[in-house]
Amino acid sequence: MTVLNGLTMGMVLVLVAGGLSIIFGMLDVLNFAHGSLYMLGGYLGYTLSIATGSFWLALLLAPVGVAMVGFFIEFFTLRPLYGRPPLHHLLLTFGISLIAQNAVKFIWGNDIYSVETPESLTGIVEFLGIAYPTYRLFILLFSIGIAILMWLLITKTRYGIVVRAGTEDIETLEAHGIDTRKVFTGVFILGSALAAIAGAAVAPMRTVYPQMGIDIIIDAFVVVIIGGLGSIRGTVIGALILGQAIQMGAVFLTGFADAAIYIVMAGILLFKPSGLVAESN
Amino acid sequence: MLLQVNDITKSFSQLRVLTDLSFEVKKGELKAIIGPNGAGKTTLFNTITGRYAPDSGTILFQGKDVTGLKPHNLSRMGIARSFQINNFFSNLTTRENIHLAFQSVLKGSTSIWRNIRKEDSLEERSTEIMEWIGLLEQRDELAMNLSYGDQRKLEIGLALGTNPSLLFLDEPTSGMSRFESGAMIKLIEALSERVTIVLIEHDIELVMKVSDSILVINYGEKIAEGTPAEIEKNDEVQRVYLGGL
Amino acid sequence: MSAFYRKILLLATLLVLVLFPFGAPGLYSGYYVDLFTKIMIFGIVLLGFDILAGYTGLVSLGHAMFFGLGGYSSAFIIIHLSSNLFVCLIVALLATLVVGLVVGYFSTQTKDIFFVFLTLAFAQFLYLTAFNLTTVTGGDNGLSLPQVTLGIPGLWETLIPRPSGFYYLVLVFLVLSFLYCRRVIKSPFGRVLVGIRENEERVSFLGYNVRLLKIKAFMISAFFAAIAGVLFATYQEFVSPEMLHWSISGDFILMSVLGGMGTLIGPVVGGVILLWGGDVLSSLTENWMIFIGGFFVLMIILAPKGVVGTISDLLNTEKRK
Repeated sequence: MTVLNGLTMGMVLVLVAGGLSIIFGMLDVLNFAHGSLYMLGGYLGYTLSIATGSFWLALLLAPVGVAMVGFFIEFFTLRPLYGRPPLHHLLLTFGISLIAQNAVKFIWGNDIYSVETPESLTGIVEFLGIAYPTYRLFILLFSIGIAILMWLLITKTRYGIVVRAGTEDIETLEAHGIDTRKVFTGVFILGSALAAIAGAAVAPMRTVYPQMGIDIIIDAFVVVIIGGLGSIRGTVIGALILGQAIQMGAVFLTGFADAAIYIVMAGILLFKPSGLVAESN
Repeated sequence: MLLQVNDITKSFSQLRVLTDLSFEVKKGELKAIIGPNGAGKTTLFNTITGRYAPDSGTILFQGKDVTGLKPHNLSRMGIARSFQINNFFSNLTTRENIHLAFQSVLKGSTSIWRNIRKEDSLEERSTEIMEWIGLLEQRDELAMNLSYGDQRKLEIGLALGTNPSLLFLDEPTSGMSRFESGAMIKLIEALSERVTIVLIEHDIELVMKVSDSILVINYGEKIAEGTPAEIEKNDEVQRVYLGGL
Repeated sequence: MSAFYRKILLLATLLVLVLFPFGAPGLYSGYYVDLFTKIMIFGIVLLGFDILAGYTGLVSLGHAMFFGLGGYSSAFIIIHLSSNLFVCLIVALLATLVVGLVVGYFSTQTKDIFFVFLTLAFAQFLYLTAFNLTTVTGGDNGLSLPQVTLGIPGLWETLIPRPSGFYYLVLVFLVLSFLYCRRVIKSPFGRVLVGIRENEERVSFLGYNVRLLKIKAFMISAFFAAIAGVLFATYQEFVSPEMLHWSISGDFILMSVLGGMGTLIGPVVGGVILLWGGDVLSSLTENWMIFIGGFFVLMIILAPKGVVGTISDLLNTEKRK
């Protein structure tokens, strides 16, 4: 059960940190506002599911809305900053996250909202002898599905090939006459949508609240960092490790559960100062 | 013998870059290391000056085992190096660059309470170095704003600043025009009067002219070692290197 | 700006700070004396932080660790041992020495963003410890402490009059900190720190032990954070895990960048902007951080050298014309 919870948690982190990781790999931007996009996904999902009466429609539309926000962020604030030290990007997006978080408080207030689980996914399923909440199982399968879709997009389509090439060598791309600015914008929009999908999808499970962006961003950063920055494989490994660590922490370190992620991160960085899958130069 | 390198080997994952390489450097000589691109020359420098530790083999400096010591230890013992690709402090001025180098050999080089700026020796010796390398007039220029030729000089000036007894120069003329590299070689010749030099250099003619002895390596192995005259006559060298030019 | 004018400006600032409490409550409410005491306490952290982040280039996201450590050390001392400020300071510095050496030793193994997050991990670990060890630290509720005293333990001790007594005490610490930090950055040590920031590898090839120097810089800045932590806790007569939280570390970075990293005075100016500006804005709207965020975003895009860095650049180009 704990392992399964950890796996679900890990897969959600794959979605959030995966977006963070491709954005870093391609744009060299450590996007602190990624958690805000996740949060916006949650809030938009909440509002839309009430407005439309359909959770599924909300799950579809919220990422579209957040993708537009992502476009504005990339186009107006990140573009002038390419080529600056990575710390500037981190600080800029930190500023953006301050704006986003307070904007959310302004619009939605400080309340915690619960999003209703769609009827078809309520209850508990039994399989392999364990009883597991249907919705969690859905999240697990849904995340795996999205991750596979992403994987297909990256390995099988022309766009994906460009993105993958870009994470390795930007200059070659430019030499091939590809407009990297458009690719950058595209990647950022895609990453934003991924974060929003995760935010909207887990809302019935975790509720929607102003701190949710900050809570997830630290986890997602930890994933990307222990994975070794910019390596998609490392991110997946990191997410699965951290998912387990968080759940194990909740069980074995009661009252001290949150420390698990820091213990894992410090432990890994002490032995591998550049993360698990370090790029070899 | 100032430096003895015995059977050093260095690999990067699967790739073996240096294989059982041995050579010696006599005090006062100017030794050149030549070899085709990818022969392992820079890796050899990196291994001797402490950027990497060799996988096996030993390095003796003034009779002491210095294998695997860190760059700052080696620098304090009197080994300095310049880099093939400019590696100085771009946002500092020429003078500040040289200060930083020379400060390291002064007492209290990292003290908080001493004010070594007030000690004449720092300013005096830095001025001397800048004059020597010909950058006195550009002393208040930021290093990034210097001309490329001047930047190459500063690269050497930094190495000189630490008062070395053994100086490794990694392609000091790389990227320079014919005219500029002529001046650089003159500088190196003058330097070799004062300090033992090991030099990586591409221009064979120059090497033949200035060096006392030459080490030829290819694929990380020693092919030949000797005086310029001996190297010129060596068939092996002719075949793998000079002939292919 | 010539050294002469800079000196005049600094002395004028000092004069204003010295006279400031006399204006209350006639010209402005005593609330501002309180606010400025807090701002100056942050100033002490920021001076030390600039040595690490601004001059050495090691941006720590865990500096609240030492701020909180100073706070909790003095809380324990005042509650259990002695109410004397100097005893608090000594114990806080000893605690910082131990924790700082461990954290500094391991953190300096890593670089750049990895350093940022490893320091974060250590600090959050401490935060969660303080949060969860309820029996010792009071957990989320924090600890209230009795008033601190000045003087020689056992011989002569006196309470510190509030608010202005504490204000002047903090001012003295701020001035001493400034003088010391300026000494540090102008020293041979400080020059090498800049070298490390600019090109760490070459510095090691010039014969400097980079790792050791980084740890030294880390320790110095940690000490200042701890001193400020002691002052903050004894002034507030209260400590809570909030002091250790990473958002405080984030604030240190925010203030430093706003004011201008690597200018020493800049981060302090940034502290004034954020704390005073935040105070003004927060009386207007609850979500005032929106404006701080916006201002910060604009600064990063348009003037990444911060207020002080940008102004001094402008003055320098002016002079060259």
